[in-house]
Amino acid sequence: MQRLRLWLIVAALGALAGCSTQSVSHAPGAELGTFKTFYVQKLAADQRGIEQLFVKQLTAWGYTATSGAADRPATPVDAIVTYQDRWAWDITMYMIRLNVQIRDAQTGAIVASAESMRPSLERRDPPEMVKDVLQAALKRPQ
Amino acid sequence: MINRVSLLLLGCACALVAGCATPSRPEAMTTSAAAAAHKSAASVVLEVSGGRPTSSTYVPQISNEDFTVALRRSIEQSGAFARVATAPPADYRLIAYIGQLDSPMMGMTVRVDMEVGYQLIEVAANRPVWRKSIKTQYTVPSDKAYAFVDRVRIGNEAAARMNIEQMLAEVAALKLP
Repeated sequence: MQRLRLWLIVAALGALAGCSTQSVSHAPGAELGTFKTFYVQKLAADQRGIEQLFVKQLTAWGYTATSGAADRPATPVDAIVTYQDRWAWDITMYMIRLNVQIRDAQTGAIVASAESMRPSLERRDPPEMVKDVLQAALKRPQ
Repeated sequence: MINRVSLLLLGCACALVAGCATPSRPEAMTTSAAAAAHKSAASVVLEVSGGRPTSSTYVPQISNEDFTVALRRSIEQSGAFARVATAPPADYRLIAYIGQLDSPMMGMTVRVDMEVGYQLIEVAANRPVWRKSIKTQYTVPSDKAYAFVDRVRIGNEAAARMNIEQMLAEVAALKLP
């Protein structure tokens, strides 16, 4: 009986804890090195200003980056960044998953895609999640 | 008190076992829509990337292998191309890059957004004859399946099926020889 209870506790903790995962993919023939200017398209449902975190990170790496709610920027850019952020509650709200897509501004086609998922016990601040997915998608060195 | 704790733990353990994610099934992603409006006599080879295998503890995904099977069966059933080669050589290369497959982490109604970038390349001339990014979306109602992960899988499969349908319609409109 004690052993069964111990097994149940381990199973329950396993269900709650989970593991962090990160994935990235690039379209065949994608040439990300040519991208110097970016436009971050604000997600309509985003009330937390995540698009500004993308702009800040891209700017910190020396790119020119702007953001807005429109599908297309007012001035031409090399690439458009779109994203989806997912949040969960565990004592406090935290970002559990962030997806990003880098699109060729000329065609609108996705050329790179990355995802970072971090359950509660491995949670990270949104700026770090943004850095993680951009680093993977743009093939930047760690 | 101890019995209640045991019951709660048992419930968590059951939820863990019951809620395992299963991969999207090729047969459910295959479109059985009407025959292609135009049937090419050429052959095609498929190259799929961007998909991901499903981890049992995460939400269902679509793997490259399963999407390839669904694409192949859909093309064969529609007759859009005379033959789908499993390896080169072929007259055309159909490249599909799954750039986005988004679903919520929890919830009753599940909306899945999918975007696939397609390129059709004429092998002899080594030139793209068609290139398009196709977006599809499917919402699964809460009563469609009991487990959340099953609703995500159903949404993935429907979004993929609709995506392939649109691709086939566009390729048929090219009227390839």
